[in-house]
Amino acid sequence: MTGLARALVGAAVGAVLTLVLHPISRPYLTAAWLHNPMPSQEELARTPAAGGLEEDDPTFDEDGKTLRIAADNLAILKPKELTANYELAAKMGELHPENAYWRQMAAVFAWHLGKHEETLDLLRKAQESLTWQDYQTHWLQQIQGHLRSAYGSIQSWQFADVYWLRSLAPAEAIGSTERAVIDISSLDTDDGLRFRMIVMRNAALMRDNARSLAVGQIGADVVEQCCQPARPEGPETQRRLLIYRGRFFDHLRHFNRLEAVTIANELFEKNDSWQALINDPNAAKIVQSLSLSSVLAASLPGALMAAAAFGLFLWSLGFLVERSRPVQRLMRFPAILFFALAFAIAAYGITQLPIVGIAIGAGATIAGLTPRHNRSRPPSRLGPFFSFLTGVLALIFLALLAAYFVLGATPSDQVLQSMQLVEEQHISLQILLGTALVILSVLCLAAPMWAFAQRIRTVAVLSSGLKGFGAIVAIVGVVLGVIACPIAIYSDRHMQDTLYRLVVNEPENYYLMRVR
Amino acid sequence: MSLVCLQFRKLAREGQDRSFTEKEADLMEAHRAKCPRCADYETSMVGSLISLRGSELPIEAAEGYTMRVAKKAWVVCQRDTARYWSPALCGAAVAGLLLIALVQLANRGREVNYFRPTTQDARRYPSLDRDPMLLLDHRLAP
Repeated sequence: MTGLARALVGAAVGAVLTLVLHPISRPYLTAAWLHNPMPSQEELARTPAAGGLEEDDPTFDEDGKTLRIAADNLAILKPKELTANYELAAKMGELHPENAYWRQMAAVFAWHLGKHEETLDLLRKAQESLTWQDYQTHWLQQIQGHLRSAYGSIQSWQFADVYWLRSLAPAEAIGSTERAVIDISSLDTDDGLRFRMIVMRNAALMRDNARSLAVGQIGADVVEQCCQPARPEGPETQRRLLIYRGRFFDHLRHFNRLEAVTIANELFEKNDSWQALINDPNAAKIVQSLSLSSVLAASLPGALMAAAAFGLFLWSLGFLVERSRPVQRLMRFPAILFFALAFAIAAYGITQLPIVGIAIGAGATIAGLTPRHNRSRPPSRLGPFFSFLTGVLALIFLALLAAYFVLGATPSDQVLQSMQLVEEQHISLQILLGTALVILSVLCLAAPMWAFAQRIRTVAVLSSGLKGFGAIVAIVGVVLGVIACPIAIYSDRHMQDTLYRLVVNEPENYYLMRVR
Repeated sequence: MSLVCLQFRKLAREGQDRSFTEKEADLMEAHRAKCPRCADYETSMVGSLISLRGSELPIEAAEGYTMRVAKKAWVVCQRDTARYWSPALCGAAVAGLLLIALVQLANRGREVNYFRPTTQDARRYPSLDRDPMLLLDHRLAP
């Protein structure tokens, strides 16, 4: 080995050791193969909401959670359960009148119990509140704390995971009740206009204090609907919306509600500000892309290292096949048939794809074919085309195996489960591993072709191919893994900031992005 | 004497201490058949070594001589190994230091304290004095 080669080997070993031993980089390298036991989605949903907030009464969080679960299951709640939740929300509304959420939720249950008068009364009281808080953010932060403890370090995917756990059910239930009130409130009567104004102020509270863009959008939509007739006159265009607003002002003036005109105008202006400065039509795509990037950052360096370790195994296997006579004897007929069958069954068992089992079985069987008459002096190299073929197959194999490890890692498991993409993840894992194994079987198929063309023993070609293939996978995997690790740490830290803001106060994040 | 002859003789000397690789063995075999002078050189060298090993020394070795020789051989061997792998050690040290610096730099500059849950409501709305807004009802405009 030349001096330069020794220096490069040392650099690779030193780099991998440094990254494995450094406490910051270690989780990024071990993510692909160390699967920490993580809490399931059901366990996360059962996370107690109380605790951790010194200045807050913990019962706020616990009652907020109870109402959220009730809103999630609103359609199947029995009258007795509706009554219990109504009483809880009404009691909290009396104790903490500054938060409109309690009374709005009480109004939701009252509406479902058929107490329409009480619904309107609760909404009337709720409109005077100062704020709107559903206590989900605290709960999500506690779940992120659980994930961090279970995983052993803080990474951006944990914020991406909890972002998708936020329930829109309470806001949707409130929005739906408010729409129902709008439907029964005529634009031509004084009472109807009064109810619409009450609903508008309630919805504006939700819009202005929402911690999630989707919740704020529900509020903004309800504000807009307050001026619309029960039956729309045609497709919803910007011009028609402006006409509705103008007519709404006319109706208010007709009943001499001049103060309401000023308030409504201000709320509509804020709605326009919300749409212009906060609501981002690409928000869902941004979060989705950030979530997937956070998974990639957390597990790509480890996945490349894991693929490199597999390449090292293949490299060693190549040396073993080249030097060990007993192994060479096992690679002849009829022993190879037994191994081919075993490999085929194992490949099918892992991937559940029959085509992969057949390809592996066929590849291993054909690798047992060898020319009857061999050259007495086989060439030391098998030519540039063989090297090219081995190199291309190795790079494809590395990419597939790294993608497989990324998808199978804990961050990917957690985030894709929250994004409800488990089915896609399962199928992708099978396809990626299956394709990687097929690539390996192509190498086994190429060996006898070269052996017959050049009159060399197939075992010699196969060992040479395995050595080259394994060396490329190992070297490229280690080099890319070492380069990717600091990049992953850097991007993960930046994504942590953004995803934290999205979890804690999503509208604020988009607003700050616009005004900066 | 050609370069191949020189290489053959060097390998013949080294062959007393280590085994040949497949390529080296092929070269030795081919050159032995081609060059009788080198073949004679190898035979005489091997013969002399065998006769040296077989000869008896009339003197008695001092006490602990064998141990001292073995220790010295071990030290020389370790020194050679360290010298051989010194570029690797340098490479490992450079790569390690570089990566520690990079990891520290990459981890720098966290903006938010994630461990402190937020308890205050952030009032977010755009200030009506500064932000653009549409005045829909022109009759209300100042």
